[in-house]
Amino acid sequence: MTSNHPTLDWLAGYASGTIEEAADAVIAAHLTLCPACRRDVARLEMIGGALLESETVSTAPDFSGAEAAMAAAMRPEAPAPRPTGTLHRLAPRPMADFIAARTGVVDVERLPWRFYGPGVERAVIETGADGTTAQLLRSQPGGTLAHHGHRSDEITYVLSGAYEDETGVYRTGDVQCGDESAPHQPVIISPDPCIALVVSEKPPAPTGLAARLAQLFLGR
Amino acid sequence: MARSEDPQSEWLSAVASRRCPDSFRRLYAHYHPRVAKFLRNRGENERISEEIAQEVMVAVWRKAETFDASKASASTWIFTIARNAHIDLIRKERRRSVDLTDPFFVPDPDPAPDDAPPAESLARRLAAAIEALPPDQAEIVRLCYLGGRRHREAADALGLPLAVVKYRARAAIERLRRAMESD
Repeated sequence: MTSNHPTLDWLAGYASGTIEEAADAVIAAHLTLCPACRRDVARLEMIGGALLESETVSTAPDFSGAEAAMAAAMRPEAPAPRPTGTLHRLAPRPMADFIAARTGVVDVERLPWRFYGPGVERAVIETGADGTTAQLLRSQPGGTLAHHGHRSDEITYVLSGAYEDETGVYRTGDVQCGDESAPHQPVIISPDPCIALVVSEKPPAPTGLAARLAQLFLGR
Repeated sequence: MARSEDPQSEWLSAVASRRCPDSFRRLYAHYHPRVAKFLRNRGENERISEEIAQEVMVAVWRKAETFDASKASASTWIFTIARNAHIDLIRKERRRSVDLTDPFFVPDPDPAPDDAPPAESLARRLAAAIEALPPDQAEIVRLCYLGGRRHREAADALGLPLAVVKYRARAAIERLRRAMESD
């Protein structure tokens, strides 16, 4: 059972279909694990249903396309193939599919991991044209995730392991939403490496020495 | 079948349970123009809006069995199909949503909490609460849910600071949620 949930803003963004693809994957992965948030999203979707219903349209009913729609629906839809790879054994399908689609990789070890400070590796998943970035951070037990600020447009999903910062403990399936507070220093508290996906509208500004050095050496 | 006061959900249930073509024709006449308008609101041209609305209605006929009148109204169910169809169009790939066959899927607690009011009375309360929203909050909810605008885009469209849009959006959503929860 997960204990840290997306904020109402993020759930409403998911329900209205107005958040980035990477953030969508975060929310859908969490919803896979969290019946309580699924119930919230169902309620938020009712707002969309009520607004759709209240739309005013021309009064003359038009049945003309109905027969064509019923005929078209007779053609069977091909079922999506079941992916096999360590990525899909690690995370719920919306998350694993998103990472696989962006990187072309289905095995965790083959992701484009790069040194990102002592005990920390980073794999950039996506750098969207609109400035959205999605990056995976993998950190060894006892280490820290790169020291970074959390802006309100940032959302983090824990794929495996657990970390702790000033705001709480985040375990597999949990979501941490940025809150405009001071930069956090997450510490890995799981016996296994912690892997988290961080989605932000702009690259998070690293403030730790290791991250700054990594930036310097890697030119990022 | 339980008598419902919402004819659209009744039609959809008839399609779901016995593939009733007459009920589908009624659903089509009711929702096809609404979904096409929804897509035009989201910035698509006339031709694309008509095409996607047709695809949505094909999906309604095809997937009707998965509709559960105790969980959602027809309008909510069709809203989610239309929303996803538009996202698919923009992203040029399928929206990745929750997969009930995912080995990670955690099912709802059983038995489902029976304090939940029936979907239909929720829908009625919600419609009343939307009517009662202050106009500046209603405007933003419509821009986001129907127009598909992000908060920043809504702020630009209205010439308002982003923080004001975020505040109004949250105030509106919290009001509507409270309306659905009260007895």
